[in-house]
Amino acid sequence: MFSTQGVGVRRGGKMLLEEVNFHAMAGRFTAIIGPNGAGKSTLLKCLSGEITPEQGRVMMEGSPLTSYRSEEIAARRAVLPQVSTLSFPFTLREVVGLGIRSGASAQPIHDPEARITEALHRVGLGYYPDQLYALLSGGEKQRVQLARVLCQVWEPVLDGAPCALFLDEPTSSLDLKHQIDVLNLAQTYAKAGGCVIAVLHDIDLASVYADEVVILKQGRVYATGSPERIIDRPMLKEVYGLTDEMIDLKWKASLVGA
Amino acid sequence: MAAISEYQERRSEPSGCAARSRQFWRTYCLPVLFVLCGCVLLASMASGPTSVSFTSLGRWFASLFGGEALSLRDHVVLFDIRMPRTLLGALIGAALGVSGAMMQGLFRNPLADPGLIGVSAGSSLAAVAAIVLAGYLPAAIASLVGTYLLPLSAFAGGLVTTLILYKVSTRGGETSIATMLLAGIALGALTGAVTGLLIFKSDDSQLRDFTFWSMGSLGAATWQRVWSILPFILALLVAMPFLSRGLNALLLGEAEAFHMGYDTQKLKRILIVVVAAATGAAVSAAGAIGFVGIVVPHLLRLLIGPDHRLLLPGCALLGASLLVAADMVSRSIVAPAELPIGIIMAVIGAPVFLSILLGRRSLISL
Repeated sequence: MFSTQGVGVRRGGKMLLEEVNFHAMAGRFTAIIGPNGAGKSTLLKCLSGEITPEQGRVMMEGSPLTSYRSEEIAARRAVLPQVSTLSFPFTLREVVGLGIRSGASAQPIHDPEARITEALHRVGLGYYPDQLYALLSGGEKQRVQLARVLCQVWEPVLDGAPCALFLDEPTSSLDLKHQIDVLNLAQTYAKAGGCVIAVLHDIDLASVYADEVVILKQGRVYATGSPERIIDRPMLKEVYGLTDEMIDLKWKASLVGA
Repeated sequence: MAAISEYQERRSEPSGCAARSRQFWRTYCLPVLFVLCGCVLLASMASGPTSVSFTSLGRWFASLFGGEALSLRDHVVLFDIRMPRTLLGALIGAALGVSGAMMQGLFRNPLADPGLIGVSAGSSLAAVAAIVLAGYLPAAIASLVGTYLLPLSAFAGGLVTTLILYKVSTRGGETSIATMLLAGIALGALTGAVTGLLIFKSDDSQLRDFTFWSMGSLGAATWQRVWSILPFILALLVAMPFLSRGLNALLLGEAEAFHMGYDTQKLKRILIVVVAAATGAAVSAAGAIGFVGIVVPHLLRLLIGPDHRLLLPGCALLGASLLVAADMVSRSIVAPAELPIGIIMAVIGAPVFLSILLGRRSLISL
């Protein structure tokens, strides 16, 4: 559904992305992994249209992203940001409602309040929708933002065409249970025909949840494929610069690289 | 399940009440504010140092339906003195309230206020410059812009200041509150210095005008002034409903608003222009009146929350009521003399500003 061809991004004389060919299909969970500064978030920004790359093309459904208006794109894909600050006294219900009433809603929604409540329940925050957003913990805020983003592209498949969910490190400030919950939610979305693209730091979670993994290293695609095929000990050494001892230490009861 | 309900109780008990009251005010705030605004406007029409009061207003209403006509003196007091002053106050109050709310949305920060961050100072400078330098303008241009010379130059001054401020304090869509306030102080000092320089060069009558700019007053209200600022403030009020959804999204962040399908660059440009136009018009007619843009949106957010679809019209009504009420105080408290309205607004506004700082220190990262 989303793809890039030979994308290059330069900032301040440094190539953040170089010759990146990327492909994410509807119905699949695609994870972007790589060490800090590999260009994961930059790639996600190119895909969302936030950055227009100097080289190459970004495509959505076979047409260049630049040929769509921003409302048209917003009707098809929603983005969960990494951090979100909000210094105004919104309640949870109001924050989530912003997703429904954004330029995205192609069709009028029958009962927006019920949709908001349902979205908050899905992220496990349905019990106190009238709480002030600013009083929540970091992880709870991230889950509220996820509920908002879900409201923007509620149907994984709308009018026969897929919708996409972009997640920029969705698990970074969550506890273990909510990491699993959130990724389950994303997986369900992909299984129902939607397209999920997530930047993940946790290789274990990526290998469990992703159908397809894209590994970035210094702005270039190092490998693409199913997690079983490309996440292994040599990759960890080469991409992340880990030694054998470090790998043994981290994965004592290991999921990968054993 | 017991754990959940206990949790729920702990978390929602204090705010459940707040939520209900917010729901109540969301439904009734606009009608209530509308009535309030109407009452304040009538009261302002009926109060003043002469004996013209509610009875005279009533007699005027009666005269519309064939009753006895008002005396010439009463008619002049009501329609040539008090009405333009009341309308001017209402227009300026509405403009300042709405501009404050919009600017706070643009900067994503509840402390942004045109008066506080130097925008009004920039407008004043341009207006003062226009007064001093008007003599040097080619006659053709002077007659072309006519009565709009002051509001137009104040608008230009406000626009330039806002743009500088935005460029200085915003990096990659994130506004630093500390940088914004400090840049506002720097800009205020700079424009103050240049204004001082112009005052140095000015004659006596110009000097009197300057005192008026720096304190703020509705005392020079005439119908001509009302007409000269009306288009600028109407532009702001007409733009309100088209900007409110975008402003809501902008509160989440610039990138987030873009992801939600809003053209953020266009939105920001429109916001800056309409806010500068309205602030400039207000300053050109009544000088720099501070704190309306902070107090009014802050009070309304406490009642109805930050949703701009209700907040902006609410700010227009409450801003108009507040400024007209403050003007009534300013002309009655030391009658027959007048206290500059800027002093009254500062007395009300500064404590509110401090309370925002104190109460929300944890929520605003400086």
